[in-house]
Amino acid sequence: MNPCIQCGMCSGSCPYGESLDFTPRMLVLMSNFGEVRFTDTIWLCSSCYLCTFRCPSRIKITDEVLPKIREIALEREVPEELSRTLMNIMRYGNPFGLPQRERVGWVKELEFEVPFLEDVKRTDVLFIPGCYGSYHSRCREVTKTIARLFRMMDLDFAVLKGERCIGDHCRLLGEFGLFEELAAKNVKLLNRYEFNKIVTPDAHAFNSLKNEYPKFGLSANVLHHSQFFAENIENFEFDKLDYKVTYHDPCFIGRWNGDFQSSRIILERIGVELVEMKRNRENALCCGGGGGGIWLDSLVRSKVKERLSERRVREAYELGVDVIVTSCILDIPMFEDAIKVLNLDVRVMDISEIMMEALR
Amino acid sequence: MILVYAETFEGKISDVTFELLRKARELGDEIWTVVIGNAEIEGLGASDKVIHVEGERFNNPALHRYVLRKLIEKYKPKKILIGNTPIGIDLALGIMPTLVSCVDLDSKAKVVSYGGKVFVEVEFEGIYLINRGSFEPLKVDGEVEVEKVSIDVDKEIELLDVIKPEVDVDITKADVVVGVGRGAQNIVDLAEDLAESLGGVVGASRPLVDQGILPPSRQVGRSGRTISPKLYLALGISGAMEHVEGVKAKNVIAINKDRKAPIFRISRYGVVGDVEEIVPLLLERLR
Amino acid sequence: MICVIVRAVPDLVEGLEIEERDVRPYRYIANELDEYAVEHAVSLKEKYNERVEVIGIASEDAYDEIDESLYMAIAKGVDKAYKVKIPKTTSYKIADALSDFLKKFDIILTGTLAVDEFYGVLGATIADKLDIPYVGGVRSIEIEGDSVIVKKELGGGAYLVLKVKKPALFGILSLEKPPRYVPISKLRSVMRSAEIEELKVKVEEDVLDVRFLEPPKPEVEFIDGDPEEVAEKLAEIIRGLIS
Repeated sequence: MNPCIQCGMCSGSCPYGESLDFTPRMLVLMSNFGEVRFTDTIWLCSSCYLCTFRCPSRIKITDEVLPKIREIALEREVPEELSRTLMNIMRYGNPFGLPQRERVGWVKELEFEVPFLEDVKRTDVLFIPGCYGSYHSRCREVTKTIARLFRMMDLDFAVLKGERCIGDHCRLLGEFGLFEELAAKNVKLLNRYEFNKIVTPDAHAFNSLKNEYPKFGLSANVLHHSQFFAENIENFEFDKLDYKVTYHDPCFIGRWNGDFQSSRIILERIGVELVEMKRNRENALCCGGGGGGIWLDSLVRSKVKERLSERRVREAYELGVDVIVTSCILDIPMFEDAIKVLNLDVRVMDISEIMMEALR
Repeated sequence: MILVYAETFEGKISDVTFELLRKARELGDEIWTVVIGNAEIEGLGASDKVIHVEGERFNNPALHRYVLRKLIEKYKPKKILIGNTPIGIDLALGIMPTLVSCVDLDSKAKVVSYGGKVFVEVEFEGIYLINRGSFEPLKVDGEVEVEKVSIDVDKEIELLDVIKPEVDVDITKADVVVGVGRGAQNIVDLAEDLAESLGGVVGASRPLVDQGILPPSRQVGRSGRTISPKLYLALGISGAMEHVEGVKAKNVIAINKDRKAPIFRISRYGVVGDVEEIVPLLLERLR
Repeated sequence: MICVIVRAVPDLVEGLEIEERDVRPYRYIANELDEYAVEHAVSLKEKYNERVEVIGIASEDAYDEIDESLYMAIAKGVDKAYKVKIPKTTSYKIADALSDFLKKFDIILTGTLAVDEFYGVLGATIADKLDIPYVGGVRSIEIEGDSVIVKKELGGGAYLVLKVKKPALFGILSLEKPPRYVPISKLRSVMRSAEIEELKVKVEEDVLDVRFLEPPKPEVEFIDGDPEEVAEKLAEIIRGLIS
């Protein structure tokens, strides 16, 4: 039994609340009585964590109540785009259905060599780009930028050829079995080598590596790249950039892991003009990509008037900024697509990309 | 003797038949073309003889394999040429070796297999299922000797109905798709004309569908359809990964302002330029 | 009673190594259209309470890898799974070896084509061997007494609706609704409890005289010039490509 007081804070907070057939409040209530009803709007939740963050009874709606209902839904009817993606992860270890050996294909696009941990066995920083950072053409640009920044720092770092999907979305989608297998495989691989810390630009991978993987036997110091660069900011000499920017707090860095500062420290250091969106920090609006949302584009479109990513870029655009800065790698395709749909003129940059631009 | 199967549907001989006749002529042997079902026999002048198996019942293409089987037993042709089409593929037979996805046949036959990833050369004689577009059509008008043959088939397959496509087009089945992206949103009408003149249809990237300019059935990509046309003409499409995932075209031609646009990575031909300028000029020439 | 034939084929995603006399896959998976056939069979079971069996066909290299797809079929509702090991051979020899086992079924389903199939079409060959009707390119199946009603794709959104007397064999091409998803925990529990029976039939070897070649890889060719020139060249190229 969860201690729900049926206050409705969760339903009121849910950014897709008006599109849900069963609101979080109803789902929490039903799960107390063992008979849960749901429809395909169960897939709309993008794990933004607002409901859970605000719940006065501290019920784990996003990471426990909802995934358990989704676990049942998975055995019934799954939207095709989602089943295809999960099958890809099961078969190929990434949501795109691309071959494993292409995971480190971006390394060849660099002007210097990046060692593989499988070869060198030990390193200071293990860099885990995650699936989007490894395979997605736009996100790979971020991965390469980070590698170049590491290089500028003379950092001893390496990547893994055998990295597989970290699996945070699978877990939140209720595909617990798949998540457990991915975690077990990844941990087995990680434990074979020596490194001092893991750095990843994927906020979702970061969350799982930091908070879930210890249950599978990983004991590592896990940092998000924004945290790593904020800690090492003294290594960089920036030229002041004459940009007006806003910063989007990724759910999995902000609300999920309580870090609202790292990227802002970097931006302040670069010297750009930072203006805040109305919904910022713990109240930030989600990009819609989490909890599998990035794979459910058609379903989302059929259910909602305007996607979260569109609402978010509109909110940013109204501030008259040149750049929307983010630090979650999924935000980049989410926001860039939304900008195309809305026909707006604003750039999206990862925190590492704006760092690089200020270094030139 | 070479037997060419004239694919017919609703009384009309399909174009692929004339492509097969071109190759059959080249091979130099005597050509018999077989027409099954009630059909208007025209353009088959390249063959030496037409075998016509008439009968209302044989307007059902699903029975053609059984008719063909009897004809093979009767006439013992060395080579049988069939178009590798939805109807033709069912004419693969167990009584004679069949080669699928054939693109050429001379001393050796050439086949495309493994999803286009491998070419195969093979010593072969039998039934060739030949991919559309492998040869130039050879349509010759004029008198040909027609022999009417009656055949009995014992298989019970009844044609109940023919379902025609619904009003909106199915982009997954088109030979030519003209894709419009955000860079081409002002020339969707021109793209429609261009598609029409090429016998194709218009597909779109996500932004155009989201803006309601084209219906979701036209969307190419991860959250839309996967297309496999002979030609994909990408107009003002940058080629984001989500889009490119749905493009399995034999040939891609892209027109885009940005030379670095990822669409060029999957293109055979590229034009760096403004679609609004080039498309009207192209349309003039293709109409 | 329904039987589905599922073949292990090269996983084209992982790629192939092409040698003159051989194609070496990095990995095998179940032929996608055969898996669609499993979906259709399971739907028929749900609708008409038919018993469904599946038979996996795999070479030595793929003999273990086919298991996952067979267990997946069981998890989806298939009643019994068999598998057969094959040497380097062709559809004709497979049909010879399997027809005895298959003759007890009144509906047999498989993919219209397998990704590595170019010499003979397995479904058609088996049907002819058993002397039963064959229809390929099938999208939907319903049972009506001693007949089966199928929709056969003609492309371009057109279909034939056919009534076929049982027993018959159908080549599957597509699905009307997305494939069922099997959560991994369910798959693993089926793997622990269910068994795959090895079918002891001898498939004869049949080696073709073939050469395998890489297809030519086109790189992008930019067409330069003023717009008029570009349009002219482009029109010519387009005519060439679609003729």
